[in-house]
Parts: sequence; structure tokens; C-alpha cells
Amino acid sequence: MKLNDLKVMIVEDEALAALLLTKFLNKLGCNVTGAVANGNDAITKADETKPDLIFMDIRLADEIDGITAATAILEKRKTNIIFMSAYSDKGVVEKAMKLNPMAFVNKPLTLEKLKNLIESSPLIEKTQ
Amino acid sequence: MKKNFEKIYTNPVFSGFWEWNFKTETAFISPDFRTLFNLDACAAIDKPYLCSSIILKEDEPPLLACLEEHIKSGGKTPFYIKSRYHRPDKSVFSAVCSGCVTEWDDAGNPVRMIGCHTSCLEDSLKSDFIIENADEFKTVFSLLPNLICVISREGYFTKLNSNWVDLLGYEIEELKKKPFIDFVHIEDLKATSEEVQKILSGKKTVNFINRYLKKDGSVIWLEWNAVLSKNQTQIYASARDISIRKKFEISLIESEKKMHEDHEKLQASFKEKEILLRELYHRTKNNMQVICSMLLLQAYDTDDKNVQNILGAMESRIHSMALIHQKLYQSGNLSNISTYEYITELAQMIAENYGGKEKNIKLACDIDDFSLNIEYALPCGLILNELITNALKHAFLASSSDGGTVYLAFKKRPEREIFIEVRDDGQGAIKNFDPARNAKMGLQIILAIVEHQLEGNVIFENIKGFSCAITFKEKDIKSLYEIK
Repeated sequence: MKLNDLKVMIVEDEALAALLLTKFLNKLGCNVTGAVANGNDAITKADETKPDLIFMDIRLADEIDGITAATAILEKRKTNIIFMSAYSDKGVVEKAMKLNPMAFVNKPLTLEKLKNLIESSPLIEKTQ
Repeated sequence: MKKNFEKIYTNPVFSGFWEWNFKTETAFISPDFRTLFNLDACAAIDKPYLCSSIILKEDEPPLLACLEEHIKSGGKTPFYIKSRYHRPDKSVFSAVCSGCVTEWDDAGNPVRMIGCHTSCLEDSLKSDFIIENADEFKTVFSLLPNLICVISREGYFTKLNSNWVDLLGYEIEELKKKPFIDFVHIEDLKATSEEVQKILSGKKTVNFINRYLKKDGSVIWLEWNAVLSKNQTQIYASARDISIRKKFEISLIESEKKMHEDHEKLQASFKEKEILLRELYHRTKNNMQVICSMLLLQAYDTDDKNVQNILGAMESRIHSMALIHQKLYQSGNLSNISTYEYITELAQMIAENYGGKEKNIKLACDIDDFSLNIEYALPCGLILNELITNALKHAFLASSSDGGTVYLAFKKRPEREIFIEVRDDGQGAIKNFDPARNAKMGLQIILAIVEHQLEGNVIFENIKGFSCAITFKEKDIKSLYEIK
């Protein structure tokens, strides 16, 4: 799969962080299918757009957190998850790792960090 | 004509009421207490539950054991024991001591206790006082301070002494007209009826308490001793007015209840303030995160590397402060954070952001874990942010993949001295580095914080890499409210 074939979805409740991530991913050539702010919308949108990769914030504004939303999405369809968190505590990381995500990264994400992450992902390597 | 009158109980039953504070070792004793023990008004009494100066020595250990049981059981086992005491005239008499702890401290130790000593009826009956004739009987009878009465099986007063008139305000005939139960307070009717049934079945009543209604409608508290006559046709009863004692007990209970309510209110108020403070930290952290996002967006929007670096540095500084607010609202203590948790996370975050892994730079941390107030945590966070960022950005040649190590120490020394050191084994600063002339913004921030705010010292070394060692003394923190 080429980078611009990669359908990416963003789940981030902080608008500016979502905007920044969209800009970074677009610059890298990814196809951002949408950015949603809460867990319920993430589940619906993932069903509609069937992304190859989801950037999922752990803490979300509404009652469903990122791990719960990712669990619901993965129950319906296999996809790749990258968890993001501004502040990781051990318990949360352990809980997230049980879902076997592609990565768990600390926010803020820089363009450099994101580039390394995407380019080294098996998703890209397999098809290149 | 000599009549062999029955021995009668001429020594009225007295109860001496007391209160003891275990913490302050102070006592309150009622006037009746002194009367009971025939004590002078000024005679000193230590520990009224024990009366160590007058209790018979052999009766002291069982009394103390009984009290210990009461305390050990948290008040469940009653403290009730009969002991013997010396009167000033050397005679010995018995009294029942009863009481209960009414206030405990947080550790479960008794604070306050109330109780009373009551002279024993049986003991008084050992008296050889025999009424010789009717006149003597009348005289003695009239001197008794108690309410004395005889009640028929049908429940009517048949004989009453004059104290009834004085105390309740009714004439004797008025009292005899109605069943005695009509004078009992409505809330005590059930208990009184049950007690009467007990007496009629042959059991003796000792210290039964109920309320009577006076003619003026007011209420009087009475404590009763009663017994069924030998021929089982009537009840002999004696009561005494304990209204003052009850009033004292009720006011004690009420003040205890009020104290409890005040405590609950205070707890609720603390809880509310705690929630508000957590909310405030959370919002502050969120706002700082928004600022970080704005700086990063702005950095993205420009191609000027210099501007990108400046905005990135600003973002990192704000993030180090946001992390503290995050730790504060997550911690049990709303003004202190754990140094180990915070500094480890901060260092890892900076290393990640400045490509430590890609540049093969290791972080070697030696961090003492202790609780640090936000007033120190914020400046320390900013200092560490500058020093670690500086090392990651400038210590190692970008062209080399050899990497290196950044050593970080955060130690608590005796006399509340805090030691911070960030050292690297990189290329070092320029020759003849002079902080006064060569320090850029990051090091200027460190100098300003340490010297101006923390009143500490900074030592830079430029040998085998670059190092910065900081020491300052932690002082007691006054809240902003106190300073105002």
C-alpha cells in the first residue's frame, strides 16, 4: 500500500490537536478520511469509511474513552490503531496494549515523529 | 404503746452525677455526688469514676477492669459495678458506679465520660434504724426528700407524702382521683406499664426512669425504686427528681449531636473545595494543552526553521507546566506531586520530542522520590525542561550517530536542600563559556528562576561535556490565601 492509499481516521477531542494532526498526515501524503471528537462518532465513522489506520486519543470528552471505542471498532472489523495520550499512566498503557495496537505514542506529535511512525509501519512496508 | 414498725428505708437513694475528661483530666461533679459521699464542698475528687481516695483498695481493681472492658468494647460492654467506699466517719457503704464514654477520638481512645454513683438500697437496709412509734415515723417520713407513695393493684395512688404536692403542684386528693398512669408523660406510658407488670410479678424496680406531668403542664424526670408488698396487694414506691441531671444529659447529647453535624458540614465543605480545585487544575491543564496545539500549528505554518525552533521551545515549556497540573489533579494531595513520577515522565517526553532515540542518546536518571509542593515543582519542571532540551539539542553532533548519555539527578539532601544536576558527555559548550555573556534564553531562564525565585546557586561546568548543578533550600510554603 502506498502512503496516499492509506486511509487514516483521527479521533481527537481537542480541535486544534486534530487540525494539526490532519495537516501533518496530509503533508505526509496520507488520505485523512475524517476527524471525529468522541467515541460514539468514531465507531460510526469507522464503520462508514473503513480506515486502514486510526489515530485514537485515549482521553475523550464524552463517556466513551479511546480504549472502549477502539475495542468496539475492532469487534466489527480488523484495523490498525495508534493510541495517543498527552500523559500516559502505567495502568492506561497496559490496558491499551491488550488491544495489540500498532503503537502507543505520547502527544504532542511532531511531524518528524509522525513521519518515522508511518514510514516504519508494516502497513507501508508490506506493499512497498 | 410500742409497735414493731417495719424497718424502713430511711437513707434516701442518692445519685451523684459526674463527668470526666480523659484528655484534660478534669471533672465535673454534681452537688449530690458530695452529699452521697458526705464530702465537704471543697474536698478534692480525682477521677470521679474511681474515687481513689475513698474506695476500698480491694474494690479498685475490679472497677478498673470493668471500665477497661467498657473502653475496649468501644462502649458496648456496660460500665456498671458495685463498690464499697469509706465515709469520712470511717463507716463503709456501697454504691453502684455506672457510666459510659460519650466521646472518642479518631484513634478510638475515650475523651469524655459521664456517669453516676448511686447508693445501694440493700446496703441501706442493713441499717439498724428502727422506727419506734407513729410520731417518729411521721417525723422521719416528712423529712424524706423523695416522693413516696403506695399504689393499689388497680393503679391508683392510695398514699402519698407531701412532697408530691410541692413537686407536682397537685393536691393529694387530685392525685388519688385518677389512675397514676394518667400523670405519666405520653411517651413513657408503654415503658411504665411494662415496669408495673414486672413489679406485680414480684420483681423489684431499681432506678427506673420516666417523666411525669406537673399541674402547670411542665415535665419532671423521676427515678424510681419500687417493690410489691408482701401480701401482693399494693406497690411501695419511692422516686426522686432527676430533672437537673436529665437536663444536663440532654444538653450533652444535643451538643454532641451539634458537634457531629458541624463536623459533617465541614467535611462536605472540604470535599466540595477539593472537587473545585481538581476541576481548576484539570481546566488549567486543558487550556495549556490548547496553547501548545496553537504553538505547534503556528510552527507548522512557517518554513522558517528559526521560528519553528522558538515555537517548539515555547510549547515544551508550557507542556512541562501542564504536566504538573495533570499530576496535581490525579494525586491525592492537591498541592504536592511525586518527584519521581513527574520528572521521569517529563524527561522521557522531552527525549522523545527531540529525537533522543534517533540520535542514540540515553537518559540516565537518579531521582529521589519525595513529595514536592507546586511552588517548587513548577520552577523545577521549567529548569529541567531547559537543561534536558539543551543537552539533547546541542551536546551531541547532529552528524554523528554515536550518541551519548544525558545524566539527570534530582536529590533531596539534609536540611531540606534540593540538588539538581543535568550533565552530558557530549562536545561541551564553547571554550571559556561564561554564563553572564554566553547564556542564551534557556540558560537565562534557569539563572533567573534559581537565583531570583529559589534563592539558590547555579554552577556550570564545561569539562568532558557540559553540566549544570543547582542547589536550593526548600522552605515552608504559605498558601496565597494566607499571604493575602
